[in-house]
Amino acid sequence: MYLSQLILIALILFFLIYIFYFRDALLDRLVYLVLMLAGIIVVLFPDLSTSIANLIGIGRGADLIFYAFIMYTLFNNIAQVSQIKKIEHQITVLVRKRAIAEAIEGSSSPEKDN
Amino acid sequence: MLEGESLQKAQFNAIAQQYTLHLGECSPPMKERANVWIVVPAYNEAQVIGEVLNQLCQLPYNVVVVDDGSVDHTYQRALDFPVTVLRHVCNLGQGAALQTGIEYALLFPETEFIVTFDSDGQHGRDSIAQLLDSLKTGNYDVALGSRFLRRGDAVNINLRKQLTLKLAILLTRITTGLKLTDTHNGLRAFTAKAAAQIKIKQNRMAHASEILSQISELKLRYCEIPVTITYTEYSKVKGQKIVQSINIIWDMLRSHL
Repeated sequence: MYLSQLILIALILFFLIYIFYFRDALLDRLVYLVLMLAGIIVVLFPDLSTSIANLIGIGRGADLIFYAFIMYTLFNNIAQVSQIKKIEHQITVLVRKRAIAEAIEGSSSPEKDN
Repeated sequence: MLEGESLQKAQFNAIAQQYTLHLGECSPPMKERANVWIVVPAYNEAQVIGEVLNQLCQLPYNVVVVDDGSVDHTYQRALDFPVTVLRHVCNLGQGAALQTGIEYALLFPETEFIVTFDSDGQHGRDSIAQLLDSLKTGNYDVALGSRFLRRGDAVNINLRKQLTLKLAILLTRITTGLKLTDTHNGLRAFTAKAAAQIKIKQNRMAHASEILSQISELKLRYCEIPVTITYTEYSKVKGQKIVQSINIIWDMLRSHL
């Protein structure tokens, strides 16, 4: 087994644990920032990606970036799903409160229009 | 917590509180027979809801219809009957509609029992009394309807539907440990105490499994009562397709995020 394989599997496992146990909006943004910075550095020093890739047993720097991209997409996707879920819950609570409030108002006022 | 997020939360709480104040000020309408509420979630059921409500209104119980953002005349049809009609301004899903109806029923301190009843005409109104009888003994917190407890209760069921339901029953047995014969039956009865403990967070169809897993977690005492489910042409078209069970599994997985 190559070092790169170990690292990728470890990363995926870390993501799973992170997602289910200690996800935090601040940490999410930290991860984005680190990835952005890494992107800038790789653009500035194109050879760097190849040397890092070789260091952990991946042939080309482009492959390393591709793997990193997949991990980033996965991470981003999960962060978004979780955000949508939160918004959905807020909408549910609002719609529910409104439905109940309307019914109570409607029945207490004498001029009920059917 | 981040600044933007806490601001959002504060705004949201402010809006929510306005509504709560409203709820506190007005006194809800009362009936003499006020201790049982039947919650009927309805989405685009204008064709059949009249008949269902006609049946339910002959029973000595309160009825609350939750119109889940229907785009047809479900709301107007329901207003013709002596029932309370709540309206979601947009479609949220059956789970959300049930929770709304239950929360409304629980506003009344006299409420002792809450029954959930589907609006597509597949349940029989006579089953309600049987569910309530078992709760009135005080031995159970929840009474669940089952179409597979008694032979011939699932009228006109097709083989594919039957297989899917059996699979769901097996999965529920594995995940919750509840030994049930029917896990996706819309006819249930809760004591007010149990209904207050159960919080349906699954807005769509995964609520059926969610209710069961909460019964298991809260260690509520439950029983199954045989009820007849009649599959009409209407309910076959309107009802859940088997491929939609994938949506349920997806919603269940998503709830862990």
